[in-house]
Amino acid sequence: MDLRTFLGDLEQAGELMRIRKPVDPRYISPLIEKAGKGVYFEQIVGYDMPVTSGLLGTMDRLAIGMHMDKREIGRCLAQAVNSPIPAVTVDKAPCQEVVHIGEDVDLTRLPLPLHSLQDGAPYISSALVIGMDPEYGRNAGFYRMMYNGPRHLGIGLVSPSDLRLYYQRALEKKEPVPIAVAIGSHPSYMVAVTYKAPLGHDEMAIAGGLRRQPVEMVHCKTIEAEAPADSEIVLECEILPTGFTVDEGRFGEFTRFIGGHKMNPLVEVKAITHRKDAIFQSIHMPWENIILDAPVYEAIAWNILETAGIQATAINISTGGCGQFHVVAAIKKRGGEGKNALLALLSAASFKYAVVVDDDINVYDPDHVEWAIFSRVQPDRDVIIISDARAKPLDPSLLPVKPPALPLTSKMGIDATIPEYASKEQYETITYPFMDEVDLKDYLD
Amino acid sequence: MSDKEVNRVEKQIVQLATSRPVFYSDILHELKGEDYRTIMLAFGQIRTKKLFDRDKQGRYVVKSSS
Repeated sequence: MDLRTFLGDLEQAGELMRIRKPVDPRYISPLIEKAGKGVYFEQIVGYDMPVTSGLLGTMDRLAIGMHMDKREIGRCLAQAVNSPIPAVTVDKAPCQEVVHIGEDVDLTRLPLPLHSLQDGAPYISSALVIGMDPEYGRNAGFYRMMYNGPRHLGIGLVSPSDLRLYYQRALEKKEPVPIAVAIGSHPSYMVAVTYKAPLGHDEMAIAGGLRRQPVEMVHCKTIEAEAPADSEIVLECEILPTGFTVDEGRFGEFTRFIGGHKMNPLVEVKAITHRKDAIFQSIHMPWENIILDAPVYEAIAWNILETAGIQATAINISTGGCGQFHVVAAIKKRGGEGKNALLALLSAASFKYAVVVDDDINVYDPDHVEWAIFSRVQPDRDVIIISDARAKPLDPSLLPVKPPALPLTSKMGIDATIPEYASKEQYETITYPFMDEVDLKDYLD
Repeated sequence: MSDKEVNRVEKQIVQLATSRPVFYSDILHELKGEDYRTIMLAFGQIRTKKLFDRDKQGRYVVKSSS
């Protein structure tokens, strides 16, 4: 299962638009936004490489790629986190059919699109970055990478991450961090690496757990790192020990806002390897990022509630909450567990709003959730507000702070479960008589 | 494309950023007749030479010493 399998699945489902006419790279981003489907650009003017983007623009399309119900992806990821399958190393790989090393490296041969009006430069938004640390081993995650010259990229390392930690450790020794940057991947890899596994845990093994087979990795030609063998393109790079000295950004973020420009490290590209007929994949911001985040944060919520001893039956992370700020969880409640569930969920850094409902409420139907909030909540008893918790820095409503202080957030939880004091009669809903006996079509002409 | 062509576009970009602060999209817009890849190469040269600063909005401006 690779990017090509996914493209085939989308095409079969009528969810892929092929654009055969030549397209100026300037128009890649607006055309994807207008397409409302995954897009495959067969001809990009000035390039001999097709571009595909917008593939993960909806949960339905992600579900097609994952071969599972969209509501099950988060739960399956939670299981994969607990049952990883270690990756294996292979000798030959499609992603190394063509090799450019050293002076032959030229990022301008890749059709990097400009995503948003205020972006600092063209970006690689689909960079699956696999870093190595001598002690902690492999770490994989998604990082944005800004074009900075034919052999140089900027990388967004301002937010806390394992790769940032690797970089800081290497920086103390004035050493570079080797990273393999894989472009063009199956969604199972993307979902797995979006999950921020604890330090020392290999996201590629989580990808294996999700696919129920080990991911095949191949050694890079020029650096001590490995990349998924079935990638379309691999950039073999080093994050240079320059410190946070190079301006990077702005960039249209998953929050749907344009992030500011920041000082970040510089990345040097040592080699570019790719398939003979490589396809350049781009993640269309913010939608594909949000869609990738949602199941990841659902998985986090499943694991949190399981750890708290609460039986969840359904969890929905909405796209309105940008795939990570709002969580709605249905539970089989025992006394007091509405509040316990809220406390547990709000302990996760990302969740700013949590709503807990009973298992008769459809968490995927905002109208049904709202009905539960109306009918089961007394705000003075059932709404929890917590001040000064750790915040996601990209929330524009946060009070500004001066670095190195980290921004703080308040959080709100709504316990929309039937109150313990309520009688059963109070919550009897309307049921129509004789529903099983009558068929509407018997009364139509 | 030739070095000469890239250098010519580099000059055009610097001229543009001298006249007003620009986003990369402004460069692409103003140099619509130029090849996308040539603009990337020219922009790369400018970045290597560190000719640009940023204003508060993140737009490129030519460094005062340039």
